[in-house]
Amino acid sequence: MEPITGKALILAASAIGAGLAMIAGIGPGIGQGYAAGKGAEGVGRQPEAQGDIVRTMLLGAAVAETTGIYGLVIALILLFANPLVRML
Amino acid sequence: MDSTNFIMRFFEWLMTFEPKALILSASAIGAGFAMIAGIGPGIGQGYAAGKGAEAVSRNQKTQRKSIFVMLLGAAVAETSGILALVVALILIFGNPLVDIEGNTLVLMASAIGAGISMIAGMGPGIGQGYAAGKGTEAVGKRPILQSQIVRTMLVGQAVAQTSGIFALVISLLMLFGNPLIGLEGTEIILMASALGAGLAMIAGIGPGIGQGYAAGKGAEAVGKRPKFQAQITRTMLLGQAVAQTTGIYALVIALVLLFANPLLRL
Repeated sequence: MEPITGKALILAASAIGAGLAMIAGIGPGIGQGYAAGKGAEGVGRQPEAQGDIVRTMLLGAAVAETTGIYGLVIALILLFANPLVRML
Repeated sequence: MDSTNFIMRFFEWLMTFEPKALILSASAIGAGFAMIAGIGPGIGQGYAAGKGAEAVSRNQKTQRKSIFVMLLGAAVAETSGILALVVALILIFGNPLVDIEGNTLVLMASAIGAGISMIAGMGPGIGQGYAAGKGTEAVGKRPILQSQIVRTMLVGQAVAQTSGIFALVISLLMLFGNPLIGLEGTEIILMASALGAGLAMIAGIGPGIGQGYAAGKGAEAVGKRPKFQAQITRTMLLGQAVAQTTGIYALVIALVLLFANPLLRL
């Protein structure tokens, strides 16, 4: 096996790191699903308020999305604009 | 390079074995990882079983219908467990990586990554099981609405399966059509990319659980107000679509790592 250069090691670790970062997606998935459930429940209880209920649900879901996007941003940085390689 | 470097030492130690042995041992680890998915159906179906017992205890006359819905829902919740089992069996009995000419380390990482990816199945298992429980509960209360409740439950459960399917796709890609194996590049980066692609897919746990929860609540609401089934289902599906986003992000990252890896060009 050829010797591993420092750069290769950093890049390899970046690939693993990008994958690990995406695990964060678990949270928004669970949370937004809960919101979807409560939304469905709410519309069932008061169908005439569907518009308000859906709007509130989407607003809350948008907030819940943030950490998923943070994870995505970090993964994309590690893949496409990796600052670690340049620090070597 | 200084051979006191522990990673180098580890790889040197690995290279003292024949390549086939290494790929086979990685496959064993991958098969083990895949089976972690079994946590999901276990939790979900247990919840459904509990709701079934509760429904029967509340109204013995509806026992047959409650049990039917419980078993139907639990059967759907089993899907991801079976998908994980299939991947594990492929790794153990029909491993395609053994006969491929390629870098041993990359092949090893692909076997482990394919297993790790399947962990996502935990999510759909839990979620669909919750939906099964809620469906059972609703049918137990108003058995006359069985067909409406079951329909909403199944639609919701089907959506909850999505991220499990994504994981399966990535897993099978790594086993049967792995683009990393033929690539030129530093082997440790190729290897880490295969692991990273598998790790990314674990995110699928979340959408699976969340969408399953939505499916359960949808079934519950239809049981209460069957007249508004269309609106309830629409709201459920909209919310589920939003809950899918992070699962899709994970899929995109995994596909980038496999097919358009920017790290290899650096």
